[in-house]
Amino acid sequence: MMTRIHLTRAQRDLIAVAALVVILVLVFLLLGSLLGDRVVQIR
Amino acid sequence: MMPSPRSIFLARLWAFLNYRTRLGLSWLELLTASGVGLLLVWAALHGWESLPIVGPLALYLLCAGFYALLRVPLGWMRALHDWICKPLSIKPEPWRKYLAFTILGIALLADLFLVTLDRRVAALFSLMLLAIVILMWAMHDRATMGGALNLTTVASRIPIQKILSNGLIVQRDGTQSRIAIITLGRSGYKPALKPVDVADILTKFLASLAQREEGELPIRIFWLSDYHLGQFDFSNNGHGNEEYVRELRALVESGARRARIVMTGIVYPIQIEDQVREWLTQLDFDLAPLGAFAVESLLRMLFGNESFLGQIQETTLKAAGGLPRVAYRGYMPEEIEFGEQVQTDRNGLSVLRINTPFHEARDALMRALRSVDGMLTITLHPLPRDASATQMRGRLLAARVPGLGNAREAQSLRSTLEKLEDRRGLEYLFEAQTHFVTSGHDVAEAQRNQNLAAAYLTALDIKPVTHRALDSLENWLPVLSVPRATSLFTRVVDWLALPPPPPSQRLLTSEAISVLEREEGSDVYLADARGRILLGRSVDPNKEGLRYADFRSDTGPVLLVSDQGGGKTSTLIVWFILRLKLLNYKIVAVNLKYSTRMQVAVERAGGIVLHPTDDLFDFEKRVHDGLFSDRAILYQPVRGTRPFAIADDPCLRVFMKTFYEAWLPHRDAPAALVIDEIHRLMPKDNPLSANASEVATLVAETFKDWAERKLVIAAATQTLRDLLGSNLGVALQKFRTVAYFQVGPEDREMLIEKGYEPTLIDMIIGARRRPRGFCVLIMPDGFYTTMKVLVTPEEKEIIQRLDVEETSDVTPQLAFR
Repeated sequence: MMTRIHLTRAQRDLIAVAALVVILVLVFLLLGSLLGDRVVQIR
Repeated sequence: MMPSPRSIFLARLWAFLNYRTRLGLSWLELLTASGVGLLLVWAALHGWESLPIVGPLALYLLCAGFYALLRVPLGWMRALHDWICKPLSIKPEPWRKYLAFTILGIALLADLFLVTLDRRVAALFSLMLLAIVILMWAMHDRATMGGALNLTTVASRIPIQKILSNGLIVQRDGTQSRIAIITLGRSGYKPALKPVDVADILTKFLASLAQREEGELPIRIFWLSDYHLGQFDFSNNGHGNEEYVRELRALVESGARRARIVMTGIVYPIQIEDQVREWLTQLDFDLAPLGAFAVESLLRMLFGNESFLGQIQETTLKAAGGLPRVAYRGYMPEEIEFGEQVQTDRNGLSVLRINTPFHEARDALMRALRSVDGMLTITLHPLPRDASATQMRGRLLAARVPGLGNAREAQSLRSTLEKLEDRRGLEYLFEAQTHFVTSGHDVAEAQRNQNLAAAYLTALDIKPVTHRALDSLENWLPVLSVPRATSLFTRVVDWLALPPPPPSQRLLTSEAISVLEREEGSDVYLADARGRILLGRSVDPNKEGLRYADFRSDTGPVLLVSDQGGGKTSTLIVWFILRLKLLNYKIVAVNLKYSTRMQVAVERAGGIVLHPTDDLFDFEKRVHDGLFSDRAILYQPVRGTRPFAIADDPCLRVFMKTFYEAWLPHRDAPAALVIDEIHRLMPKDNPLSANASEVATLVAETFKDWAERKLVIAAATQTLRDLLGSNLGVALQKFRTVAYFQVGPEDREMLIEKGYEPTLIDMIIGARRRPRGFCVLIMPDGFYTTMKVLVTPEEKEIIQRLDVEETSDVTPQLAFR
């Protein structure tokens, strides 16, 4: 039987902000790697 | 708690950085742009080796520096969310759900396509997609209050969760607030407040709103125009006497067709109820908090175009004097649509945001409101003094930078700051939002109202609120949310997910007090709700509209005084005999003159008229029967039938004796004893007969018994002085309430003795001959105004017809001449 987890607004927002931060870090890394390739091409 | 020097520094720095310079960019944006430029130059000089770090860093820095511009893409996302989930025209549209899935599907397909090209680009795209989904989820969470609301129902758009049975409004966020009508409690018995005192009281009150330890609280003041009698459309479903309803309807039609009144109301969080009440009392105002029924009536007026007062009046009449404590009528409109205006199935509301500071716009707005159907609301949100001063210092610093700042702005900031930082000045900053709402049940009427209002508002900076912006009803409806302290993360998500706050003005205390300093108080009491009755229409400038007499079952004896033609008898007829009968009062009337106007009125009301006869025994029996019936009863002498002066008639003695000894002890319903020309019980020139003396004693005893018996007694006389000099005077001095109608200059001394203000005395006795039907009225609570007594055409005809008879009416009228 599935039980629904009830989170307060503060907890939900904490999770949302954490997820956004993780996304930002990943985007940072991905962008960096993409730009790194460009640097190699420029050389 | 004193803020630390570091937090003060940071607050000032932040304000400085956010100052928008004359280049169009804020300091933060300027510095970010140049910093990022330097970073890229540095990277280029090092052969782009550090690009994998510097590139994304530069992008993130730009995003952070230009954070204000992030609102633009966030706005697009919100628009998309609202388009899918929060339609402007509210009806169930299941296809929108499929639309959302389709858009998501297309995005995923695009992602798959990208995978075939470059996996990292695809991953980047997926992450962006994920971020958008998270943000849109946050927006949805905010819009639906954590999933509790179904956005395709009307109920989800009205910012009220419920109305408690004691009239408290619970908002969606759990805030409880109350709506109250501000009524005029100004007293004629004490000097009126001087403007400087009013300003002082308001300043202290507004300061106290800002100084609360738990955080500053907003209030909202609204002015609402309504018609009193124009929509007095009560259906007669077998309740009450049909004849009276007809009578009142006729009265409505003749006297006060579409008399517009403006009510003043206040919305406040319940935490400050005592504070608001105390402050209003100091300003000579009263607070009439709305119960559940009245709150609902107010909302029905806004959404359904049903007169607020009309609803209350109708219900009171049907329910014989009371309002239901709880109302299950529902205040929600069936349909609602946000376009150029809020269109419900029964009303259209156009909303204008007023950007001119309130103290400058006030006069124009009030004039506009007096001529249209609508509502004006202003929300005052106090800002903490220290924080707002610190912020202003930062802005001032930025405004003073040569070339980039604005010298004029610096000057105004400096003068505001000086006032704000004066510790003795009690100056605070208030965030103020003003909205002007016009309404009309059909397009043509709404347009007419809007045009009329616009004609008054040409000099103001106004902006119509339409479509999506209109969806925020809580900005102008009489409800109030108090934002509560929340966690840091909630504030971050709020910033991302909630629409930016609408523009507001910043007013200093001295400007904000213009909201109420010139307020005359509401033009109405919620009269019928508390057993008060309608007397007439006020004709004083700024007091136009209808007034209720504060006349309750326990008010006490009321004495009407005026010279001839002042309207005493008309008032007795209209006020007591017709209106009180309508409220199921038992009317016992004694006419001490031969004029038959009262007789006509009582007969119209289905009452019993008793003429004195020779058979005292039979007369007593008829008096007894009449008193114990439900009908009104009148003692009416007839000219030339009795060998006595009116006061000497034994029938009068029998009438009063039966009234006092037989009926009064057994009385069980509210009742009124109405005596016209009461002074005839005490003739000035000749000695009192034994009969008149006994009658006078019975009347005086009835007055004395007042407190226990709760009997309403009205008396009219020629001049006050005659009465006070008579033996009735002893009892009359015990009157709790005396309403004076247009007395003569000879009574000036007496009025001064009684402690009335000079201006009021001038008003009462200034015009010796006021036009018929007008009078100065002083209410039991000290309120005074010039009134036009409302009469039906028939009453008017009766009054005119009997004028001649009246003036030739002399006391000792003996028969057998």
